[in-house]
Amino acid sequence: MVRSRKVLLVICYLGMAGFVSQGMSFGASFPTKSIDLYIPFAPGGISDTMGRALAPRLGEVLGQPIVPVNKPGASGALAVSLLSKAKPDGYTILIVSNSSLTVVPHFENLGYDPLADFNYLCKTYDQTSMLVVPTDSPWKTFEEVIDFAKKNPKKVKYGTWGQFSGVHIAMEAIGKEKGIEWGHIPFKGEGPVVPALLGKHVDLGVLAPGGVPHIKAGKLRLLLVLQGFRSKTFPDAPCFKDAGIKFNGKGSSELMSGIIAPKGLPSDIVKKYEDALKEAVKSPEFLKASATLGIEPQFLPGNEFRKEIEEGNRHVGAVIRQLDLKK
Amino acid sequence: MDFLGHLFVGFQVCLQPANLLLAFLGCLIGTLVGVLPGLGPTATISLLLPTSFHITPVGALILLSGIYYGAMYGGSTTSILVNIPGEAASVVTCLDGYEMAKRGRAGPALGIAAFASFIAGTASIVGLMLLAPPLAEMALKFGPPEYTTLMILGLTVLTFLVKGSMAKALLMAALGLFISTIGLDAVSGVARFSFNRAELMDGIGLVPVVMGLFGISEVLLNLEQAVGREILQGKFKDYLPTREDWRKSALPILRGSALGFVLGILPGGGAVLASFVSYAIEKKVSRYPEQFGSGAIEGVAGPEAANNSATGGAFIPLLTLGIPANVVMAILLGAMMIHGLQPGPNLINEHPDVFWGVITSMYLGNVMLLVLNLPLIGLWVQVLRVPYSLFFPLILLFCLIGAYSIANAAFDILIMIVFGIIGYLMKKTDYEGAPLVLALVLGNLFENALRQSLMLSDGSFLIFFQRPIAAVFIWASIIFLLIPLVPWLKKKRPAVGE
Repeated sequence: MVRSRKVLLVICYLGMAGFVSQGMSFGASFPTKSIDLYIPFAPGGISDTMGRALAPRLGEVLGQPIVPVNKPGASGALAVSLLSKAKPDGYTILIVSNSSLTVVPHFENLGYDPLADFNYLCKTYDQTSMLVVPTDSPWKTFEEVIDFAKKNPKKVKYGTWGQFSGVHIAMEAIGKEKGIEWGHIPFKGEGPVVPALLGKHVDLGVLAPGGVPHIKAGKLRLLLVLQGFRSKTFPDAPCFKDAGIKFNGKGSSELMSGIIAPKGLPSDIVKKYEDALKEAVKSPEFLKASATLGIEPQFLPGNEFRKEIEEGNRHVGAVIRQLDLKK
Repeated sequence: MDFLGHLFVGFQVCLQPANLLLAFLGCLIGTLVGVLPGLGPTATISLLLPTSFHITPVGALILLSGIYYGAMYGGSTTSILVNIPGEAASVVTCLDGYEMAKRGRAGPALGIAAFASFIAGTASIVGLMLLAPPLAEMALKFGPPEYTTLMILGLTVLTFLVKGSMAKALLMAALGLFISTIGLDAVSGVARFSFNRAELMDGIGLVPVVMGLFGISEVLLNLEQAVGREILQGKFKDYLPTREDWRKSALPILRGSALGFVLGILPGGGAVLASFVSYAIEKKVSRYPEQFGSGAIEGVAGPEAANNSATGGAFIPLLTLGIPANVVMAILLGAMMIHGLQPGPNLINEHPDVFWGVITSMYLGNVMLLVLNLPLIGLWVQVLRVPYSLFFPLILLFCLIGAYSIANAAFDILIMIVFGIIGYLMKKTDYEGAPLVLALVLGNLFENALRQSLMLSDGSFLIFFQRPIAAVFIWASIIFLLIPLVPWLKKKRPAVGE
């Protein structure tokens, strides 16, 4: 009898421990325990730095610590996939790069619907993707590249950070529009593109934040920013409009990031997040990190961010069909 | 050549008490992390990255670099003592290091590993200091064709690793190549063998495979059969390498240092490849290659020198060009940017205190590590006395934690366990793990580089013979493959002449 009572007691303790560890909040308002911020890339990268810069102020406003958790994989799509399966209690959010929502779903089914499976909380920043050449390249302007490519089909080789990445799609669309054929050399990530350019193994390259230090150091020349409007980081560089390109980079070469959560979040929690995030993107840590990395912060409320992503997703789908890019 | 001036600036920075403490802390943490199977410098540096925000940029780099090269020192300890690599780059040290330990020579093995690491580490820093800019420029000449041919050479060299049956080893290599194809193909964008699972999109990671194949399997094997381990009962003097050991290790250390340094500079090369190639070279030039695999000290000295020298080499592209040579360097790059340091060719001009401060702290770090590791040898050897029944749960625990810490993914733990079982079966049937690991490391790199090269050359295979560096490698591979035929041809000739 004594033994079974002890066992019963132990089971009760264990049960309580398990119960308590779930962080049940009886009547207390959100949040009552720390929040996980999934970061879809490895530490040291842009998403990681920006996520960690956002966390302090966000945690302050919400009243609970924000814990950055790196979940790298599948170029950022793994974290998105994991988020879609997380509990919609507001304790798991993700800093997402738009390509996981506007490009990847057209090529792979990784278990999530980019629009239906998530609550969009806000947009945080933009990044400029750039077409660059080594400084000692004979081409000084984008027009010179196009001229050369017209006369020498298939000779010009450009490197990007991935096959069927948003910028690859954009480059193919631009090539078609200008009536040229250039060869895509896919690399694994942005890292290998820089030495390939500096070592003259490829003629052109597309870079985003990784290119900023090299452009500023004078090793790479920026020919074109791959978006329809001038970039704040490099205001003198030509954009699509300047180069007479009609292609719209929405969803593909226009890179943006925001915060999303699994669908089904109660509306009061969504509102709390929107207000808190509005504060967090104004924080000195966030602004300082943006300036250092060449990021352009921009806050948009959740529903507007969703509209951007929706538009981008649709647009990329249309471009893929037009270019017949399906593998 | 204002080196003394540069060194003066550097030592001024790194001898500041705060930075000295950080260097020591980094080395200590690095050694611990290296010794513990599973935890690696990548995970640790990522974990400590946020805490580094509160210290100066130089301090942060000193701390994080210390962890990196400290881990390379520590990684050999468990390889030698319990046949479980602490790092992927220490896999090769298991081959002969553990055999030495089984024969009661754990102390000298650990000692030679520590000294080799020190000599190689210091040499690589000297190389870094003197040759950084020209070497970095040379590294830029390595494009896809050069990588392709280098990988071909690496795969060819694989055959020298084989202890037993060649057919079995080649089978394992083929398996390694197959496993390396799993995941999203970088060139065609097609997901191979991923079963639509996001976790498999990036393929099977190297670290969980190594930990499973060598770590978990070893534990499983030892649970089944009690392995007799003679523990040296001698004095501290006997824990150190003898003069004979030194004589044998001198040239391997030199070769390993040079090899590791060069391979470390190449983005994508690194300590793992360097250690494998060093082992193969030592076996090839040795006068008694059949002893490799049963405790040849050259098989410890060379690879240990190589993997430490590679860490020094890996800093070159980062500090001179702002290009990371491996994952750890990529994290350090991020750390630099967070701290407001623009990595790139101007770093040495804009922040000479950072550049030279980090380099000089690496000298100090290597000295600290030698001082840390040598006395610990006696302690480590005593650890072997711990009954295995107490020991193995700890090993398993660290492996599990380590596997998860790579990417916060439970999937990696699953991979580790699966390969643990596979490794156990392999050990029971005399299939070797080293060829599998090397093929796994090289497979992906080789395939991507090959296809990128062919895209650059519009389909022509001549590109590998037309570019000078690539041509050197491919001819070397061809020669390596043909050399074994020579005695066979010689034998044939008299028969033909009759």
